[in-house]
Amino acid sequence: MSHDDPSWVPAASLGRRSFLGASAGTLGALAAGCDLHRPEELVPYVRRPPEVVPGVSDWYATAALRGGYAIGLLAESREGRPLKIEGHPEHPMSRGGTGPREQASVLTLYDRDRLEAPREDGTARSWAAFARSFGPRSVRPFVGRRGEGLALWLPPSSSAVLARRLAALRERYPRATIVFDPTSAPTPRWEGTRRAFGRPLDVQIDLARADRAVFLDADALVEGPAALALARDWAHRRTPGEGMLRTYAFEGAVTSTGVSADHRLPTPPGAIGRLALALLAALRDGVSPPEGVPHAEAVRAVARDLDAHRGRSAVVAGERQPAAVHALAALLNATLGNVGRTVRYRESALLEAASGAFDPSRLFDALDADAIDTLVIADANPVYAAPPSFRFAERAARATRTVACAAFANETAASADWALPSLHPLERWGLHHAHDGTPTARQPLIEPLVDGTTPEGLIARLLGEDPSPREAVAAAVAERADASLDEVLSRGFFAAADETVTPRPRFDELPSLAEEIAAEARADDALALDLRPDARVGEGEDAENAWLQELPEASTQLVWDNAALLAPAEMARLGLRDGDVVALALAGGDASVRLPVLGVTGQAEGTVVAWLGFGRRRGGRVARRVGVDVTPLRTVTGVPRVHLEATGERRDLARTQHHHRLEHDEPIYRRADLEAWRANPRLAPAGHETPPPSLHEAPDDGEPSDAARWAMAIDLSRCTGCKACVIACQAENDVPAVGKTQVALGREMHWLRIDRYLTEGDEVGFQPMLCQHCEHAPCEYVCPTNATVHSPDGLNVMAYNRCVGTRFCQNNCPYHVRRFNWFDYQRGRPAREQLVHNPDVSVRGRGVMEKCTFCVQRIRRAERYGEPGGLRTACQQACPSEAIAFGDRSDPSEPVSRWQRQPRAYSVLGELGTRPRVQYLARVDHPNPGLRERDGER
Amino acid sequence: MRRGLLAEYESQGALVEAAKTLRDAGYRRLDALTPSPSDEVCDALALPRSRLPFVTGAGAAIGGALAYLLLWWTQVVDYPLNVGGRPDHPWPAFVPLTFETAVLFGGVATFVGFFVACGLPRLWHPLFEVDGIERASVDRFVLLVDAEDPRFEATETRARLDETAPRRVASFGEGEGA
Amino acid sequence: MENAEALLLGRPSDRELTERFVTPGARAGGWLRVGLWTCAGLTGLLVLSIAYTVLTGIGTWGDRIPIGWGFAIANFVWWIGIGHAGTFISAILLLLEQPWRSSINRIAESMTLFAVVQAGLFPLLHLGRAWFFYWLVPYPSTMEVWPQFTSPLTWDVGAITTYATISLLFWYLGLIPDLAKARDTKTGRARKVFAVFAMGWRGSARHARHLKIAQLMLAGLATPLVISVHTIVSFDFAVGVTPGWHSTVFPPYFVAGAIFSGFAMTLTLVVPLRRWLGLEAVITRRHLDLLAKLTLATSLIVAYAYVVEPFLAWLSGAHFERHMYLEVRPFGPYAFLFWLTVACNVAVPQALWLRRVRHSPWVLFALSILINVGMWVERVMLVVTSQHRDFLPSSWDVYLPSWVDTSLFLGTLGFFGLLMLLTVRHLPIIPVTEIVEMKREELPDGPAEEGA
Repeated sequence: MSHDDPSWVPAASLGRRSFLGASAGTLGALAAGCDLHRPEELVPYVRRPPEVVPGVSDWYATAALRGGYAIGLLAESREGRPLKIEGHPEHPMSRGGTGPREQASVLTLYDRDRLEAPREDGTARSWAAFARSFGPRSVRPFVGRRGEGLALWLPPSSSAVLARRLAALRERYPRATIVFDPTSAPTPRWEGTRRAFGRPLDVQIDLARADRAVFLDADALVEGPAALALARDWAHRRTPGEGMLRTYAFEGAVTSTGVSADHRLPTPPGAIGRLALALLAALRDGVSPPEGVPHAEAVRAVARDLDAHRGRSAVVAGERQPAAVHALAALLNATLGNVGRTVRYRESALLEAASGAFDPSRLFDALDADAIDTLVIADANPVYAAPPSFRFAERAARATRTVACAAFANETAASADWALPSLHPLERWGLHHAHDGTPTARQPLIEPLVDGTTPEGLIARLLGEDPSPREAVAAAVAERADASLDEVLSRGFFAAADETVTPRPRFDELPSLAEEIAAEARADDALALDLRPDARVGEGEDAENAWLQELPEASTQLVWDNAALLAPAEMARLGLRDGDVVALALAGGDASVRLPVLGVTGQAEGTVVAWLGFGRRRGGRVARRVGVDVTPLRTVTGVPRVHLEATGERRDLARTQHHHRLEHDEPIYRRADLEAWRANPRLAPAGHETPPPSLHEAPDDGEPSDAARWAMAIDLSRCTGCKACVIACQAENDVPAVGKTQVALGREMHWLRIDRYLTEGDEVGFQPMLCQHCEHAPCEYVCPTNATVHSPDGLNVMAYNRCVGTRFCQNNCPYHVRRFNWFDYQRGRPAREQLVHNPDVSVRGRGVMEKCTFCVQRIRRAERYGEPGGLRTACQQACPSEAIAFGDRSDPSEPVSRWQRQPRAYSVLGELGTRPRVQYLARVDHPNPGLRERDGER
Repeated sequence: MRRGLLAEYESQGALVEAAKTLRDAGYRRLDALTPSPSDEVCDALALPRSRLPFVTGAGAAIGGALAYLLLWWTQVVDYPLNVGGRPDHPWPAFVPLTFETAVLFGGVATFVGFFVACGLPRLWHPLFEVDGIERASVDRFVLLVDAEDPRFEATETRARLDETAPRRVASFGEGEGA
Repeated sequence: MENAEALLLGRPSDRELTERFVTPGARAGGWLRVGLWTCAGLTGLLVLSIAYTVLTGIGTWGDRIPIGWGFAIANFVWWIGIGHAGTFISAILLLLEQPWRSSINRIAESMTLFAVVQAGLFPLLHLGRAWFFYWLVPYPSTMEVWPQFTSPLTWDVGAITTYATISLLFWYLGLIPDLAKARDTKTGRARKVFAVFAMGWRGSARHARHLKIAQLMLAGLATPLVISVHTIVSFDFAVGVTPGWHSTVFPPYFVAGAIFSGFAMTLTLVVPLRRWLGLEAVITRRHLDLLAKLTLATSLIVAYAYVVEPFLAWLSGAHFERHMYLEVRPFGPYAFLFWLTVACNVAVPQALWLRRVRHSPWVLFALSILINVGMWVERVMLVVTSQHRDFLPSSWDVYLPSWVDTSLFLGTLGFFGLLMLLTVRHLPIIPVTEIVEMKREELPDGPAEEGA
């Protein structure tokens, strides 16, 4: 009987014996001549939830947190599983953009090493067991002692639900100790604003209105809760011509913000204070400039420039600068009349900001006095990350029992009596506040994969309650918004009343500030240590994320490691080479760590830069034993000073790029000053841009006239090198992370990479490099199996199934954007981790070549169903600074066509005659003529 | 040749002489066994030129033609693709394979042609029954007269051969007469 | 002192020649057994590394982005090149009616055949999915896709197949009369085996005429073939855009280099075999002298190519060309490869101007080894340096071979040696028939008598 016969559908699922029985029965039935095709006998193959259409994505508004502040997101869900994170186009703090860490968060959701269930002393237990030891009965003693001996350690948070829970907790246990982790909160800024204005405030910069901006050791375009919006505004002011923004960066490390600035002046972090004071002195009478100001000449020029743009400028102080610098920045903005215009101040959206809750000393005293019998640590890893001066592990051990709520069995969870699984952001309900105060809702994309909880939920348990998280959010929304919960959830946020304030500056603080600044200027031989949370793994929270671990760091292209960064001149003086291991010892302290050095051109001399978040001892299998833990050198505030000495050891470091200098005079990366560009808008040296004559008369691109011509344009003026696009591409296209040893062998798989070049004057330029989809693609005609050919709509397509892996295409690709599966990189993933794969993209096996497809799956989806919000490639959609335009070049009205028509548009290696469909817009800077004469094109 | 008479000589010169005399006597179906190929001997026997060159030529021609046809049909007719913006019929790229295939076919044709022309492989031959014939491939030179030759007459031919002062004269092939 | 001009020493009778030289390996001493076992061992290593590569992935090699081809392709080019001298000796010298080719052409042809076998391994192995190698061959498949015949790699398939086939046929045709001789001088099982492979050859003049014509025809085919094969191999590089590859000099340059390396390898084989098998009578100093002269000539062509390449790069004025030829190769991270190449392939062969060198076998042997090394290094240099620093400095990297790369190469050396020694041991490695023929043409005919 044929397989069309429906009666086979159930039979197919039967075992052999029952199958024989069934068919025997069927035969009998046939003999009896009765009808087998009775529909009611059929078993439906799948039972589909009504709201889910297989193969079609749903999008939900949700939120990610940066330092407790919310960023609005849209999450793509396919058949009930979250696949891809995008920015929320309407949310003021995202505006459609995302950072690498937001993009990568889906990978952590499916991680195999997440805590699955509560653990007591390392052995798995049930929540019931936890409730028995922590339920109402066992917390009754707290009630009796009004919370005496109960302590909570929480990360800084803007959660409305948490606020309500804490209120309830305080009501029940007035004497409980509640501490918000001060090291990951903007305490210096609060302190600075308190001294400058009398009250702790958050600072909002508006680059859309500013014409001049000064970044004082601030990586503001990439780092912090407002970076995405800031980058967007900055980018829109980078269009060459009138009304261009001009930015100055004074910084020790080489940050994306500095690289993107029109002027970057290397300045040790310890000297920023003097510099700020000098600026103020130049702009305000009666302020005496301090001694030993670096770049004194430049500072005067900058001051003149700012003076000419009062009310249209902004001074931004960096997160890790001491309070005094923040105070000076505030007073500078006040002096310049920027307050309320380009710089706005508001009460922090973080709970209990700048209150005693951010001072752990009370808790520490209690612990030292053995007065704490229950210490609850939620969503924080202080045992690893807290500054050594906290002596956290040792103190926590004095509590009778400790409870840690964590996603992985990290250092804190491992040392706690109870380790409780913490839910992934995509599994959580919540209502948080963005940096500008916008209340932002967070709804779960998936039923929790682990039996976990959240800080809010944990406190509820301590109170002996167990309300549904949705109800809690509903209540919090009801308090604030007049919109219904469903409206709020579907939009993801709602507008809050403008809470900005115009505080009165206190210039009488200046003398004491000046004294502090002067005190900062020590003349010892120690180096200033710039200890920064890693742009990829933060303070270790994302160390378990392989995509982020394999994301090349912006200033070194280093992966799977951290290092001590030094100025090359400094290294030469100390006789060090890249990879030499040195010992860093705190000046006047006994703490010391050993880590490899790397030279970074452009870094300020007298400065060592190192990233936190590495050298994790406990946690998932990815996090452990990557890099070196530098927290022993961490101080609560101020700039630590260290002594450095060589150890004679070496350590292999894996970097995705080894040469940063353009060693042949080929204008691969083009940049110029505004004036030079005005003089020569094409910026093309003679003899370029004209493809050489061809032997045979090929049609211009060999495509049918009615077909689309997909093309991309990338504005180098706008690229900050934040690498959000790289992770977005990785998440969208199932690109595997291959690990340190493979990267060291030059086998990273990124389809899209950010090349980093040192242009004239050792200025850094970032150039996103991906498949150029050449019309005359050199990779195609060398493939012996027709595995890579041209599609009618101008895509350079790759048929994985037809590839035999000769690698000739890779050799013959002048851009080397093709990636080869040297091993079966996707083998042996547990089923849960495979859920992260995009079902629209095939997972590549061993021995085949792969490369950027221009997100062909999105193109085809748009052609079939249309794309809400327009067709965009993953990299384009993620880019916070809108540096990428993509579309059909045959339509002159498309942005990509307009960009490619610009005179500064050029093709990399165009003279090879490859005719790339990707074009780059040369970077045009807007330097201060008074500050430095520059020779035309660099 | 299946049967006939053979005369064995010490030197190639003697063989050549004998061959000449028999030809003058009108014998046509002659052959010789020599340790190494020799034009001298072939000329003495007035053997026809080999026509193998035509086989080679034909093979090469066919091979080349087939190759180009295949290339053109697969790339231009059956499944044309836009490969690196190349023209629809990139004939220069077809030259190498056309040439290689021509050589391949020509070579194989020659090889096969050779065996056909020689009627080889043939592991048994009446000659191998003659004892001492092995030395024909070492240092003996043997003249063969085919029994099918119109002028062949056992006793008379034997007599003629004896006149050429061979080391010996023997008959070979089935139905050996005395 | 023997006569340096003679191609054949003494006046051996046909019988002596035949009996002494038809299968000289049969008398070989212990050295052959030692050699056989060593080579067998290395062949085992080859098998292991092949299995490991195919089971695990190309990642076990040193290849990486941007150096997608490492040792494997260099070995391929080197081995295929070595074959060329064999064809040159057997085909081109035949057409040029050079009698001296006779006594060494069997060794040279065997060398060709077995070198091609080694060469053929690498294009297959270097595939990411070697088990789909047949997708490069046109056959109607359910995929309904054909190979992409504008790719030099498909040309390679044609060239290598043809070259291997023609070499085999040529080799075998020449072998037939000698197999017959072996049959007729041996007894017992050996005789039966040779009888089968001799295919009933009886030295008939009628057959002989066909044989000579067939050989002539094959020679006529092989001559352009040998040029075309390495031309096509050079297309694997010249067709690409990579500076250092993208060059019209490549075809002649590669062919010259191939024949050059081939002559070196012939010397490497002939000198010891001649000594150990006692072949001095048939492979005389004159042979070595002529081989040496050809080696010198080809080395001069190669030297010319070395000069012309950077000159053209300079003339072109293209950034990348100049950077590759005038900076990267002579002064880059792989400069030592470049200078070693120049030393071995240009400097060393100049010694061959000296008659004394050409006439002392073991000096020639030493030189030939150096040249073999030089040519292999040149191939590695060509493959690696061109890729490791081409267009975008961001992708520049260095290549280091893995242990698998190395053992694959050693393995092929062993496999080559194994096949070669087995041939020497069991087959007529000296084409007695042709020598006898030559003797008869060169020396006055008549009953053989001893004497100088």
